[in-house]
Amino acid sequence: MRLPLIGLLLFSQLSFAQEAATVSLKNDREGKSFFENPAKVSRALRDFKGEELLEIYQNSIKGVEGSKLCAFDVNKSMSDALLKKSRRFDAYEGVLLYLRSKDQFDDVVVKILLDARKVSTTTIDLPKSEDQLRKPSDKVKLAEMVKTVGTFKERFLKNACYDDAYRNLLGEIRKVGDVTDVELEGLFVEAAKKKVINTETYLLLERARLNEISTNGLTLKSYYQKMTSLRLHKPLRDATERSDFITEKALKTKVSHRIQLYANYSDLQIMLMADVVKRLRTRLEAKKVTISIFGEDEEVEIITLEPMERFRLAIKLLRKDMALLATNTYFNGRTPGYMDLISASYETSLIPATELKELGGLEEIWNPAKTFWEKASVWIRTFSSVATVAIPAPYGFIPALVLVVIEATVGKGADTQPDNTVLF
Amino acid sequence: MKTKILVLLSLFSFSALAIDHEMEALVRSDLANMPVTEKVTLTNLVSEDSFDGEFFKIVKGKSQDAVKFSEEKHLTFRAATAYYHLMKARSFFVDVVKSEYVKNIPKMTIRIEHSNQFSELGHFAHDNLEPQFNNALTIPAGKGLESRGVQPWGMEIWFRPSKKINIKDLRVNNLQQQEFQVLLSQFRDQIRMQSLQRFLSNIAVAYTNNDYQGPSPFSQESLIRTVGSTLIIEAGYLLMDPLTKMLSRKWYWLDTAMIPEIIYHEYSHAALSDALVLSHSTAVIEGMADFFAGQIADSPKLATRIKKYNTYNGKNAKRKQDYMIQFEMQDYANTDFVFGMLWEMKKVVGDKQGLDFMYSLRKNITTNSGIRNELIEGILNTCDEMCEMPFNDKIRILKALNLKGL
Repeated sequence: MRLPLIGLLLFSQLSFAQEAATVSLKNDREGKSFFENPAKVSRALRDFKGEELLEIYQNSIKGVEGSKLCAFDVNKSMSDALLKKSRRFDAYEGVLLYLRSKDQFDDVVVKILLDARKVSTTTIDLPKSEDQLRKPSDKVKLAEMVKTVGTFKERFLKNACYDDAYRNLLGEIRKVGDVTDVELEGLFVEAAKKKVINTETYLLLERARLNEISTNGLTLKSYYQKMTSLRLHKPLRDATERSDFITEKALKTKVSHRIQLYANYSDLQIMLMADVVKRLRTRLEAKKVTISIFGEDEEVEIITLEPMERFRLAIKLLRKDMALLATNTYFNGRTPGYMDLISASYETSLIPATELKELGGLEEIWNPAKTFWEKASVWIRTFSSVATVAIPAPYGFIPALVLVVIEATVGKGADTQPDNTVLF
Repeated sequence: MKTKILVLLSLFSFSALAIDHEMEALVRSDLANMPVTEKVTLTNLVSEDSFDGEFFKIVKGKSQDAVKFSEEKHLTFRAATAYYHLMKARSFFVDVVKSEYVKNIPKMTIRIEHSNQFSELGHFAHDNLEPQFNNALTIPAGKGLESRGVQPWGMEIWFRPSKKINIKDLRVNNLQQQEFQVLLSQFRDQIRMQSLQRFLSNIAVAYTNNDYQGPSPFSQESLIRTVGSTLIIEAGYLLMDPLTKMLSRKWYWLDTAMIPEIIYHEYSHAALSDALVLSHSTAVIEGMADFFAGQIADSPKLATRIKKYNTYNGKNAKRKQDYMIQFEMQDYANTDFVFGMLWEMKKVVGDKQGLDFMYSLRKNITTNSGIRNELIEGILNTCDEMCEMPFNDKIRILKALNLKGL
């Protein structure tokens, strides 16, 4: 009898010990930081030594479980420690960038912490103008909502991170009735007027509303969960490998490829995306590709593809795989971009850092970048056509000449007729 | 001991026999790359009075005797030019490419002013059988035909005499000229359309606007304005062709023994013949020879202005006006497509490694290699062997080829 009890005790000790271990957010994929700014780092290092900053950071995450990671708490802990030692310290961003430069964490964590910092330091213009406030029209529902808001601190914030607490609060409010963002503003003011919340809580709620943190899917906790899951299922082949490519700015966004990846996709989605690139790579390396044609009982013809046909087939299959991802239930009709696939493949160690740039460059084949003149020629053609009539003789031939020159130079593209000597 | 003495003696005799001789030859000027006559040193000669060297013997026509320095200037000038540039080409392959094969090629007979066709059995075809001009040729070694008194022969290079041919008799597919005609035709149509549109809009304005004060669209002044520009363009269009013919060159000839790039090209055939046999002319082996000729010449002009050196304009396979796959078949093997392609491949692989890469490529292709299949496959296999990062470099190669429409 004693033996199983001892066993149970040991097991629970072990579990407890694992849970209590400090989380590690260390950078293990990124090269040059997307946020690199030596000037800000220098400012931070004017008041503190590097070792001090490292110690402050380590203390802020010490003993924190992965499931309880909160960017706002980390920021607060570090800020308090910094201000304790230097009252007028105002180079918090520099501190984060310094810690990033020492690989204590990566750009994703920097982004999360900076965004959290931005929320925490948002200034609110008070008092609010009554004329511009809107509240939910139904008075009964309004009262119910106000009551719910009053429970924010005790019911939601006490046991959850600020952003999670706010998200949960909104969920509860919406159970009572629909509320727009403008009405939320009015609701919080109403709650403050009715004194169900104090000024501090009101400011918390208003900052959260202004910064729309309920829509932000990328939190420290979710990032840690995704990353640990990926490392578990797809262990890194080379933990020392780093890539500058994935920390470059993603097109039409203000973040890097890697930040975009973690912001938009779950760990399972990332793994599925990476598999697409793995298949692409295998096809690109293929020495032989054949198409078999079967008659009734046997193979009647084998067509061997030429090297360029193999290449274009691989690209076509890639595009097919990308489109088919949208039909996968885990993607809910969403088609990831090609660069997201590349980032995912690197994140899961399926593609080494040295191959990212070339693989990423394949997108030019089906999505070529237009030169300035190609874009401008559309407009020049339009206006030249009008100008040929509008401009009086003898100068009317000038726009005509411009049109012909455009056709001869910019218009010198591929023939639209398909080449029937190739399969792909 | 005796063997050692004999070896030493033969080495001494060789070095003693290596004679240098100064003569005038045609070379490329340093700055503008124009042909100029300069005094050059012909090295490694074994004769004091003829173009007989350690590696090359220059003869006239079917003769077996080297051209003497004392012969007529027309002949010696060509012989000196051929000898000088052949030595340059050989040095390139031995010292830069480090080809063991070229180092061990036996002395080659170089025939200048030679118009006989080649016969695989008899060495020379009959004198009267369609004499050849304006060309050059590298022939493989032959066993000869002892029963007919035909002696075996080694690898040779033949330079044909030049012969003036009227441009009318030359089958030229001048795609550049055709393209210009098309553009001019489009411009002419545009002006006509513009004149018509203006005429119609003048009529509309004149007959719908009660306050119109301008001249009638049918007045002489208006008609002259409307039709005038069209007439000028029409005159230009019709006169363009006769004017071009009147002002352009009418005669064509090619003195191949006097053109360094052709000399390099022919020698490159010989240098690559360990892998690319000289059985017949194909786009791939011509392209390879062109590539090395360009390297020996070290002239960017050759690469960038390929159009001027060739009757075809096959650089961009995406435009069917410029390129058709049939151009790469045997009859059209003198296209520049493979040359341009290999030149670009060298840039993709990297200039530093490019030369070694292209030289190694010969082992992965054959004389009968097609472009889209065996040549590209050969390039990819060579990359597997030689590229620093084969996966990345192969992707870059495939992208570059795809962009060219292959």
